[in-house]
Amino acid sequence: MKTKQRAPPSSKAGNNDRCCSLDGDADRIIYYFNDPDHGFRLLDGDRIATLAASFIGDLAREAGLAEELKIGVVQTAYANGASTKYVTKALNLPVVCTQTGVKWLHHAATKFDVGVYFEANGHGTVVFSQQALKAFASKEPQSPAQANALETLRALTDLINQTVGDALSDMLLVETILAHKSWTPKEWDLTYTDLPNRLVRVEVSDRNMFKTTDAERKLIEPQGTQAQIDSLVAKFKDGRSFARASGTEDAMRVYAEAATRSEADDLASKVASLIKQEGNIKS
Amino acid sequence: MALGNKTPKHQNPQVLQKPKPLVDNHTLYITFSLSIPIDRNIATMESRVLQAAKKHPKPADRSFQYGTAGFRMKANLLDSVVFRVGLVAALRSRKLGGQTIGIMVTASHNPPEDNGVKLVDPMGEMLENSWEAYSTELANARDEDVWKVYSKLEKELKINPETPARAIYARDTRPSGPKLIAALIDALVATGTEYTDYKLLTTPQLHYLTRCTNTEGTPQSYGEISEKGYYEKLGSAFTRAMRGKKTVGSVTVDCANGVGGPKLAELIKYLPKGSDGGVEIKIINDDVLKAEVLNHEVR
Repeated sequence: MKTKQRAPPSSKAGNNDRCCSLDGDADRIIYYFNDPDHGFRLLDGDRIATLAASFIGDLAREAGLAEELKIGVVQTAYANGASTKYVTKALNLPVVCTQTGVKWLHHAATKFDVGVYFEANGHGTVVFSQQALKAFASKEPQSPAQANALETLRALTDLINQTVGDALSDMLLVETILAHKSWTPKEWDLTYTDLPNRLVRVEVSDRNMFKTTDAERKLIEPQGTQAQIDSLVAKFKDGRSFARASGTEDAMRVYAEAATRSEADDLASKVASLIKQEGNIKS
Repeated sequence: MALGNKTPKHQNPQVLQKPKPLVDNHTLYITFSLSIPIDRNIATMESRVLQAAKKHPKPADRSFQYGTAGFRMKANLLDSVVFRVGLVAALRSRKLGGQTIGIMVTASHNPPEDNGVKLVDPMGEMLENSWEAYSTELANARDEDVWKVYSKLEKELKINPETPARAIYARDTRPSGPKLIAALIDALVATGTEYTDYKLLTTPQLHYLTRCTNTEGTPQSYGEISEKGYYEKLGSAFTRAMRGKKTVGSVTVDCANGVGGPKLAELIKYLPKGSDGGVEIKIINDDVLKAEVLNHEVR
């Protein structure tokens, strides 16, 4: 559904109705709705992470705990650049990028007092440190508003599955936040605009000749390739691109995003040709 | 003299395995507690493991790798893998002083004919990284070498075979699940591991139960050790989080015809209705009996 970017055929939901899909064992969830003006709109893991971070950040401020608790968001390189910018600039919270794989995200999230992590595919949760739990339990509220914020924070620590991404728990979290903010999915969708992006698969003779660093965002081998990618990216407004090896086959996956659809496509195809040339299937 | 032939009194499995409450009369929601006699005779463990391994032969010319999502592939290739994951669970539990390890049989969003298996660490976290390699090693051993690799790991990791081993497990709705669980049980029995079968659960529910089991009676107690305890915890927390707030309209949840459908239907019973400050939830695609529609149009 995420790849096809349309609602499941059996959905009878009307315009602006909140909808979500679970996966087969209910550890992932994504939201979507039909916008009468723009059609099908997907609210993926990046959106759930930004929604949760914004809500918990506000609550921590209202509770007078923003200074003493370190709240942060963990993403992978596939998180849309607009979501990263929204968290760092609009929410003013730190973002850490890890390699793909939930265990890496989870591990990085535990370094925060409140660590929010979601993969774009909708697998994620929020983890609270012992210090955060202690602060929520022992902080003396100075006003009814502070008492309310603390009570909501305590409820969230029980509502959110601390062990692993949980679609049922995450759904109740999203429903809670939208109710608190009095938001429709449209208002949630409007918090930021995703940068157009493109994912391209490039067959190579041997994927092991490509080695990455920096949470799989930069190539260190073959030498010089990263510099060429960097110079391509520099030509595009809001450009970002990386190439990483497939886990299962001799292929590279090239991700590119830029300010417009045509620029994202252009950047993706330029980086893909470069990778194809480097990983040339020599006869 | 039967060395290790005696089960210490305080490790009586009958006491450790509490009966689990029935949540619903519907078979999908029932959790069982199996109290079979645990044979912890170390002297005969080798023959038990080797005999059981023979029942679950590894497909020739196949190699397996424990990845981020555990082992995952066509279900008909998984029998030996699941058996050996059961052996790893025994080792891991003993290494951690008898803490309970979780085992989930699921292939998440993969097609219905696939299945998979993954291990859950005591605090409900994913299996520690270094143990992925041990799992891979054991999964790839030749049938006749299973004990050799098992006891090599035991020695290398300084695991005391007399330490009790404990595990809990569950599966999703795939038709191949029960057969794979049978392979898992063979491994748990062969290694003298105490176990509780939680039948059908979502993956995160098994993670929850694993953490609850290992934190029971401690200041970090994570909740009541039952499926019902999970619903009650979420229901109560949601009610508190929603205090004085209202949802607008309903939310339609597509359950991909997976285990999330019946479990969400159960959870709803513990949530306030939309009119009472809760949420109105409409479930679609919750047919878990027609295997071929699992994850249909979800990916």
